[in-house]
Amino acid sequence: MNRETLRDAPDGAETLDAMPALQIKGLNVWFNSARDRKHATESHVVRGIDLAIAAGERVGLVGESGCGKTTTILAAMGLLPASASVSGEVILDGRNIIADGESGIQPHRWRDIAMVFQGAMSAFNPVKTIGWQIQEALQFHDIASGAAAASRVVQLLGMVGLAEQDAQSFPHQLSGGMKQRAMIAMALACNPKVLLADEPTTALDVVVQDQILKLLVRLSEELNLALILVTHDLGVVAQTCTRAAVMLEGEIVEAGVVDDLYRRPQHPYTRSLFEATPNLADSRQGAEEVGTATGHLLEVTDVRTIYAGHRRVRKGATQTAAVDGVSLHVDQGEMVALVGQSGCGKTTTLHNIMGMLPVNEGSITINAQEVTTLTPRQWRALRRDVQMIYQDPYESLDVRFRVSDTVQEPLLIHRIGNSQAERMDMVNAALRDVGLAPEDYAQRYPHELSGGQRQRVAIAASLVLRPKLLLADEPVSMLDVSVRTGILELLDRLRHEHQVGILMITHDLSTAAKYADRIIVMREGRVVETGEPWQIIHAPRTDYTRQLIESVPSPDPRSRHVVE
Amino acid sequence: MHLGGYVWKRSVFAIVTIFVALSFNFVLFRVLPGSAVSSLARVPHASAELKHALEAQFGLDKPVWEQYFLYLRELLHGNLGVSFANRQPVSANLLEAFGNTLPLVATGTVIAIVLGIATGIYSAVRRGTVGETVSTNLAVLFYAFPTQFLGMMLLILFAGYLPSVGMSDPFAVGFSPGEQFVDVLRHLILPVTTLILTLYAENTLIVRSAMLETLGEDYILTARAKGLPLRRIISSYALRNAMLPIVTQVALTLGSIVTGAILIEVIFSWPGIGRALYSAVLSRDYPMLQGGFLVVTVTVVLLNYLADLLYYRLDPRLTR
Repeated sequence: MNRETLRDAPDGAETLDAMPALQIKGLNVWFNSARDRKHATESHVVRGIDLAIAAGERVGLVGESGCGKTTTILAAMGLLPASASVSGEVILDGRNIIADGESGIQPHRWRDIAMVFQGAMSAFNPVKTIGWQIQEALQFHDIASGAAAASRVVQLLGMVGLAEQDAQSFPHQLSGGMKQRAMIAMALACNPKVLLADEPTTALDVVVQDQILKLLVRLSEELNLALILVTHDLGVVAQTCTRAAVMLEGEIVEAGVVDDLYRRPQHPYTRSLFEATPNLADSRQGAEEVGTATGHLLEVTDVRTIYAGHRRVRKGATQTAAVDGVSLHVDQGEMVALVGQSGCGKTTTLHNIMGMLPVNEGSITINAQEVTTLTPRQWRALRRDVQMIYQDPYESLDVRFRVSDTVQEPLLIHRIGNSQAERMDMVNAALRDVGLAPEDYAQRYPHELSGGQRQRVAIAASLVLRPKLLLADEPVSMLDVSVRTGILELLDRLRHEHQVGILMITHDLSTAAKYADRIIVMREGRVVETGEPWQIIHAPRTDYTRQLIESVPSPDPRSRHVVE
Repeated sequence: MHLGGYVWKRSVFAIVTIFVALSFNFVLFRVLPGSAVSSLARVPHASAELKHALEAQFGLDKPVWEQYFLYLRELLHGNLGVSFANRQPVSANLLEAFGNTLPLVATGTVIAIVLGIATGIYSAVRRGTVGETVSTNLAVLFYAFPTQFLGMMLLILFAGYLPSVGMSDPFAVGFSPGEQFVDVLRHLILPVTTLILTLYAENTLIVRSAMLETLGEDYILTARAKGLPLRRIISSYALRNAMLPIVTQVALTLGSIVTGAILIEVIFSWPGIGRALYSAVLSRDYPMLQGGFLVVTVTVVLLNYLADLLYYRLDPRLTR
């Protein structure tokens, strides 16, 4: 069926006026698990990919984790590990550059095809300066050397909006966004024809993401650069690319102009991807009446937290508070979203509420009980009522515990249930609550579960205690788009069925707008705005909220604001 | 933190460590069982007058704290006491022994580090090949070998072909300086080989695992995408970053060299500091032991101090 849709969709090469800058033809990649010779298995991860891109064009390669999108572009640069075998053609200037192996592709790397990686955090050599690393590319490819190279570095940094002195910085001295800019500067060092960007903004928060995307678009237009943007985020593609190809299990299931993909998706998978992508336009109108007469479940009043003993804090210097006078409340059965950029103090606030981090000023009450003064022993009883869900389901579960052990552990700690049988009943009930059939999942280990299933197990482990308050720290940001909706719907159902109050941290305003009763926007340790989703999205009262909203990439290509 | 602050901090730390070790050294020999005169000076049946006279002579009638300050004062003047065994100043004995140990330990260590780094890089880069399997397993084998056993085996195997005792031929009278040098070199072969084989393997394994870790980092992929050749990726990227854990580990191993050489020096009768300590133990030569401990401690602290300074040079994240 995939072949059919491929033919129906406008084929890459035909829509191009000129010869493509880069053309991928019938690319196949197999991975061989050769470590174990007896059980050598071959997995076919990229299946017959065709993709062409013209100079100055931007094409998105979209798909969820494991669909083979990164493998495709690594194959195009010949960067796959030795365990991979590749067939097909990668055509540059009319020549198949992957035909002659390493020697055929080596001269084209960086000179013709450059790359920007997802992990800007670790994509630079940590012991060399940014300038050294850019200059290395220039000198190695004989573009420039000596003083000419140094001035070219300054020019490149200027192109991406970095200052001259940033050349002397080591990678750890730059922020994530600056590092990604520096990476782009390095990628452009040799005037490549094609730029492959692998999730270039995934690790960055929305405002910075918006800036980087604008930069990529501007550069591709100014330098007539062919840009292949690999991402899981349809919003990013819609805002930056002209065409896109949707990948599923190693195949391109649909390709075409982004607007067509959004308005008239042919393949059900494309449709489901767009449906799962949160859109600010989906914001809820009006909150449900959940108020209780007994007062707030959680009440945070004027909390101030200063990180003591921070290395950069010198004596006499003004200490900046991570959380500076934050007040908020959560009622029973209510979902409140705490939104803001990284470093705005939202996680610190959450840790304050959990009692993991002492507060310097202010009060926090849970069920009208003051918790800032509790000793660890007193806290223990309260932990039953306050549970946390973490961001990374790959790290929050103990790999040596079966699912049932993980879910049962809190019961044992709090000495709940008189017998093993009674506890197992509670475990099974909790698993059913999160949508996992106990008979199928109770005996599994974490590595036998998908990311979404892991997060469900983590939620079951907090739910088994029947908590009154759930604190969720970016519960879906590590998960694939299609799985996110399920987890968010689950949280939504829990608060209705069990009257759990949920405080959810998220950097994603559109998620917050769709599920929360109230949104609290934080910036630099302070609450800048609180309100119902519809009001926040459509009538923001502060410029900062407006800026945050404008940074969210909409999956609708027509509501584009990046290219302006 | 700036360079000055960092160096200052490491220096203070090193000095404090040495001071604590010196004090510990003092206390250790005070808490040994038996009276200093009857057991240390080996006059078991001394009369009361003789005891008093000896105690006064060695300053043992003074209070402990005063003895402690005397000890520190004499140390500062380079006075480590007099050896019971040969009535020579301990410092002179140790200096001679140290001079003999140095060529043995220095040659062995330098070769072991170079060999360890080379085989470690090979094992990491050629991972999964036959060569890597041989190199890694060989390293594990030598790492597991006890020094004394390996030394004995080499001694048995090569005793007829290479000199196996001492630093030089005692019958080599009238050798020219050139011949003397060759003679010492020949004597060095077996002990140095033993030292290399017992030391290099640990370096191989450390370098291999550190390299495997850095080779998996994102910046290696960046470097490959940049079109850099393998040789440069290994040297400027993988090895350069792997040096950080390697330096720490090598500094720790260096610390054990002085003591590790004891076994080798005893087996091959090498008149170095290890054998001096060994014979001091056998003959209950306490001043000699005390001095030997001091030299070992100071060497270890100094080597670690140098490693800390090197670390500063290697890792910009540490201080900038």
